[in-house]
Amino acid sequence: MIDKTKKMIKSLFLVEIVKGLSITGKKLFKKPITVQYPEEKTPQSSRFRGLHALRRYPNGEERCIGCKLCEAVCPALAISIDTEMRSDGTRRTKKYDIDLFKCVYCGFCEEACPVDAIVETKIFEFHFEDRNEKVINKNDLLKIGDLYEREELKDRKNLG
Amino acid sequence: MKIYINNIEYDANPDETIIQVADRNNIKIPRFCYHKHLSVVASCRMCLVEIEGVKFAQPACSTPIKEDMRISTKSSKTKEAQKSTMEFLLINHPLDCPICDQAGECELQDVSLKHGDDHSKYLEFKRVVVDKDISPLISTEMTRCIHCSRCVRFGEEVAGNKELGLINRGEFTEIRAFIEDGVSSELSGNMIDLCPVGALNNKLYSYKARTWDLKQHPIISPHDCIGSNIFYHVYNNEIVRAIPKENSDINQTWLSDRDRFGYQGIYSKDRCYVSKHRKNKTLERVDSQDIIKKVNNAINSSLDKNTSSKIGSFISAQSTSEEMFLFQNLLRKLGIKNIDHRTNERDFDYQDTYPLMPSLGCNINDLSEYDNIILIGVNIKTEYPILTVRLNESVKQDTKIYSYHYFNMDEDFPVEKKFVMNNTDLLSLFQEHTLESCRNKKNLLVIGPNITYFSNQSVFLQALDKFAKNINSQIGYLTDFCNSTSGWILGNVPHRTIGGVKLDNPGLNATEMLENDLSTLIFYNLDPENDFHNSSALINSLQKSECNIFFTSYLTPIIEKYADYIVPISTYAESDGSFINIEGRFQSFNKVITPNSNVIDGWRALNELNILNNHQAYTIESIRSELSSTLSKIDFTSKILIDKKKYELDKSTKVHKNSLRHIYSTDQIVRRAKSLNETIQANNKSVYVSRDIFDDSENKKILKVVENNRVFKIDNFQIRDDLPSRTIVYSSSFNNKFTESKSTFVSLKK
Repeated sequence: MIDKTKKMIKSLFLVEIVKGLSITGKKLFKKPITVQYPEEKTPQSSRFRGLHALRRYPNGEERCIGCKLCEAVCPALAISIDTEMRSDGTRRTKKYDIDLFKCVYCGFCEEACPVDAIVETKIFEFHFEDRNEKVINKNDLLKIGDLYEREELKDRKNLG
Repeated sequence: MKIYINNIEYDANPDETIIQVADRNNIKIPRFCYHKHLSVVASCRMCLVEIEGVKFAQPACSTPIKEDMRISTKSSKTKEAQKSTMEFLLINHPLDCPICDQAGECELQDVSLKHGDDHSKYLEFKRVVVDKDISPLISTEMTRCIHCSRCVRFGEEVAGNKELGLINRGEFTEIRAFIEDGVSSELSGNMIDLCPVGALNNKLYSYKARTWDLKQHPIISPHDCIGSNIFYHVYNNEIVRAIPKENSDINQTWLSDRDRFGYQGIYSKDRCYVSKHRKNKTLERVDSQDIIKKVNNAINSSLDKNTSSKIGSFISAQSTSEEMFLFQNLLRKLGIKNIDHRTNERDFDYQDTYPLMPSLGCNINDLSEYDNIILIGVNIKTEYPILTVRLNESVKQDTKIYSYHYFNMDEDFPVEKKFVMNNTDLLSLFQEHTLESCRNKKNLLVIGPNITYFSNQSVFLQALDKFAKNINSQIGYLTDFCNSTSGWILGNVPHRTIGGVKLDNPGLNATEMLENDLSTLIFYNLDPENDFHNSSALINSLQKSECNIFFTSYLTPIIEKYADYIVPISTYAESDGSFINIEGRFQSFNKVITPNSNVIDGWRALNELNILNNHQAYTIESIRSELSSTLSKIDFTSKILIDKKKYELDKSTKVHKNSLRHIYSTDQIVRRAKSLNETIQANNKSVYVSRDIFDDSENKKILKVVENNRVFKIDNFQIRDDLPSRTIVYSSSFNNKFTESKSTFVSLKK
């Protein structure tokens, strides 16, 4: 009986609405937290997984040895690799394609790589104007690697 | 006898070892050095198991069983022993699995995952061994070697040719070739399979794919009549390597290099990918859909113009049984009788009394039951390398092997006695000869394909028949191509139809077809440069005929010059097919790779022609069921009957000219296999001359040979003392510059 009365008073005086609106009222006079993207950006974790890149050794030699472990581990089958023996007798890739539409950015490729060649950079802002551009090849990946090598190095240090 | 493994009772034979009983009952014991076809050395210590009542763990591969022995493969003592062994094996093994081609199928990888520790206590430097270039077929990475010595034992015990050995001791132990040249065995590829790690690897497969990418397809070897079972590994519709498919009746777990690397010929640069038709003396490209219709019109218009006896047809004995069946089926229904697959032969007088098909006369497994095996005109080492394994086994079981040949060649098994004589001398020898040691024993006379090249083959076969009767021996054959048996039994001979049924009016044989100025010639799957006994006779008849139709996988200069129609057909791996091996075993396989879209499946092309002529259409299943019903009616054990005509011995004093079947030029596919032709054996291309016919004193370096009124000047030849008198031997049969026919009598010009 008492419960029923309490419920009636609550609904009669719109207590829930006043409660809710009070939060709105409080926030109305506080500093807004909206980020004005693209002028402003949110902080990123050093573990952020964005666009892929292939890294090089400091002497300019590409790291990737074409072991195909990233291709094998990729859950979305986004990576396709063909290998060959380079003229100096080392194992290298002649094709390294990543389909960015298939990729789920899980980071398994990074983890599987025995030589830290394939990495995921913090770049998340990229777009394509043609559907075919979704597949990025070895050249593109190495270029991205060259551009962001310093940031990568820093992230890797932060991660220990 | 009963033993207990992990407290479960198992039956065992008294002469077995623990690992044999375990393997039979599917109990897994890790091992590296043990292999069922090799001797036991117990050097890797990986198979240590605990035996009740024995203080230390014992190697399962070398410990014989005892009554009521109690073995544990899972106890902590066993596990501890295996873990310690694994730690030692991994001390010097590099961690380069990501670039190692063995990764994924590596025994060391698997065993260390299951039985090894997850970290290493070893902090010193790892051993590094310098690589050797031992062969164009095998790549080495000797740092990875764990010294199981399987490769060494294989060479010694199975291949009969010890080329690798273990030198030095302890830390400095090394596997290496004794001689600089490295490994030259015709069975060397098996070491790649035997190597449990990535130390010996397939050079052709180097870094091409990973093992988990590959799709495995079974197929039958197209290079010799033994019919070895193979698995082709395919990556992106390309065959990247071949491994043996175990078949205890044929090739066991082995494969010859020719079967393993021969697939390279499929990717040769001169593969024919476009249909062509000659118009106004130039070859023009034709749509692949139209070429069959054009060929059909050409055959039919030729039939209208001339009689069917003016059309000749040749088929390669390397074609599949399905193609052979459809080929003769089509032509016989069109009324064409001139069909032959024996393009390498010259003398056909024997053909009426020949058995239904050439056959070994026994199963390959039964070879060791014979007391004596007599090889006539065949070098097993280079012609049928996989039989070397079987004959090695036989010799160990007291079989004696005799060899009669016109050329002195090494074998990789002990030969009791070698007779090296020229054609005429062999012939007169066989008339009276009796091998005394073979009397009243179980003998097998094996006639090799070199005999079929002889221009007096029929006389030879008759003499051999007499010889076989003298010593009371069975006769067996080894054939030139992988499917010569089908050629005979499926009616691709002019005098017999399918099933070996005799014809009343036989057609022309291969030699007669080339001599009789036919108006239309059909060639199926043949390489005109090399697959004919007499190349100049072939060119002559190609020039004279009005229409030359080539069904071919390769575009050779002769085809380009003389062909009026070119139909690009598939190779053996690109279509469904079957081969009948020398035992009479019918083995089918399915398409392994899809060829270029312009290439037509061989049997489909023939089937299409059948349909265009309103004959019955076939599917691959209906051909196979027809074949099996034909084969089931045939008595394969039928005796050989060569004793009808009287032949006169040719006692002329002319010089014998012979062409050896060269190991890597026996058929059109292996001829184009690049890596095989870079091996040491393949470099052995020369002309050998016996000392008595070359006059050294004049200091000339040119030998003039008169063959069929044509003079050939040979400037690059070797004089050999071990050749029989009055003999010239061409070690490779495909140099047309110096020769006209494969085997004949020639005279010399001063």
